[in-house]
Amino acid sequence: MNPGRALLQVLAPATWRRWVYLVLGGAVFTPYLLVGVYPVVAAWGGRTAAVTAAAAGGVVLVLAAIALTAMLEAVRQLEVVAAKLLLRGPLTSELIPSSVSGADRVRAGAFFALHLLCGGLVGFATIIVLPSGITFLLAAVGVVDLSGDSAWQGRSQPVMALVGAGCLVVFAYGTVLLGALMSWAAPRLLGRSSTSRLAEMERVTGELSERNRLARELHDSVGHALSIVTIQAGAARKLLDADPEFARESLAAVEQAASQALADLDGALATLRDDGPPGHRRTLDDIDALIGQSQAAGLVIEAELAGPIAALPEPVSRDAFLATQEGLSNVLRHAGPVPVALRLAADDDSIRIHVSNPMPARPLPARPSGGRGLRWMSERIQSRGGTVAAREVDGRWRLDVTIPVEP
Amino acid sequence: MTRVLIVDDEPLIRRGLRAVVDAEDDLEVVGEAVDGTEVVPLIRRERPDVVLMDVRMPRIDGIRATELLLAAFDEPPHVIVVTTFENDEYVYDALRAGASGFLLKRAGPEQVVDAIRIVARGESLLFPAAIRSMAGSHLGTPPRARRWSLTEREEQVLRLVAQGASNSEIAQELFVTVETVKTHVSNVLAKLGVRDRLQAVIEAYETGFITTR
Repeated sequence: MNPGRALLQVLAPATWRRWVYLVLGGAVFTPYLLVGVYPVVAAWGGRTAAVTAAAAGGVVLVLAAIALTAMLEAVRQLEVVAAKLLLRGPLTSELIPSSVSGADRVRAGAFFALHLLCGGLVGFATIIVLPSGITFLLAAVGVVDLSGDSAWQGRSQPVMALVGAGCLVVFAYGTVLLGALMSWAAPRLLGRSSTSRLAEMERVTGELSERNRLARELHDSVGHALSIVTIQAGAARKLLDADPEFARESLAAVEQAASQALADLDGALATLRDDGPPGHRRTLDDIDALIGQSQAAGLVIEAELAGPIAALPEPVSRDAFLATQEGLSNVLRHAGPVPVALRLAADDDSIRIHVSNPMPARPLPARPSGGRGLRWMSERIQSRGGTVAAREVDGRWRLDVTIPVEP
Repeated sequence: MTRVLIVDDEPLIRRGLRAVVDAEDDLEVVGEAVDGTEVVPLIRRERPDVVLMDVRMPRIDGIRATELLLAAFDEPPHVIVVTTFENDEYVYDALRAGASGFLLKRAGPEQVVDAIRIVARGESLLFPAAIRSMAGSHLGTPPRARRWSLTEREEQVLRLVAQGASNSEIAQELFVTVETVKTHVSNVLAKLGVRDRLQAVIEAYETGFITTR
């Protein structure tokens, strides 16, 4: 900023909006200050050493009181609202999560302490320095008489004017400076930490690449199949009378390609639905409904749910639901209505999903493009740091999925 | 008889296209290739007039195969790029590489044979509106510098060509004979240094001679 603009900053509306913010901090600071003043008042009149010790104790008390309250979640949220409205800046457009990690709390606590201390200074300047400055200036022009005050008796008018102007400058530019300091600190201490920003970026990138992959899949599979359908159907129509045998073969090709396209579409739509707006996203909260549906379809499910499943973060719970759903529908697809063992075990770090069923004596005719859903699901879970294993063990087909809570 | 070569990695597509083309008296499929690597030897042997070229193929794709075959022959066959989707980036690249037109796989049999006949005659542009929107979405700013100068008549002819008008339609529009139009068109192609109408139109869009707005 050039010096001219820095000087003019004192006239900027933003500076006085920040002053309001600082004075609020000063007002909140007052009760803390009184706690600190108490020991001094008690020791007052005693020996100097005792008063000094009491003052030091007072400072410790004030800091302790601030530290005790600064880490409260309510304090953090109030600070966010006040800073967004009065300090504005980059924080305004940032979505601050309503619950944050311990490190974020500490940063917010530091900001609260800074707010109180800067606010205390500005509050002091507002009620002491500002009126003093005005008084000196008035005394310099002779409106106010300070001759009764021994300290100022006999001072010349220019000295009074200088001191008065100095007070106003200290008040005004102190406010500019501390306001700028708070505005600088707000996005850094109240905003989201770089790790949480990074996580958000990764989530968005992940969703985008998921969508791109889906577009590619649809392009390749459904687009390809429908091209075959169009061309073969056109050829069949054209040759229906001249070459009925050719037309019959074409129609068979159409039938197969269309059924393949439907199966692919089915998988893609299932993924899209799970990427839909919140409200429509199913999580392990819906596991009972899923088990019910699968049983209605003929599976005999022996389910075992262990650990804090309801406490899993939503994205993890969503993927876990997807994996379970895919596992159960694969059993139905490949083995038909058979007994299935389903185990979900959650702890603080991960959720493990196990689906197993006896291998079918005679495999069912595979549905076209079976396994595509499983592949989608695995890619998705692996992209979040999880593992998927599907294999035959001792005459049983088992699917084991692990999804870490923190990728 | 127009000789046609089909290049596509999907047997069912080749089979369908062959049946559609062979059913016409004036068209004949003279060969099939499953990807770009087989194209040049097949053309040398069978001398087709028109190649139906799939864009996305393993190994050598339709763009590269088009470039190769145009470079390999003094009088190369006309290439029609066959694509699943109209908004496929590859299609415009293939057209710029020298293809004479494109065809959607969802087009019906009648459109397929029409497209082959139009391109073989070289007398009008396939799907002028789609070419226009493709060129529009690929235009960079500012347009490429124009290195040619046309007479007023030739400019009129080029604009009509870009709108998809055939030689006889241009003749009607300008009150001249079809022969005169043919002379104008070949002059335009020579001045622009391109081998067919589509390439001339792409050049006209990309140099800003014709704007898409």
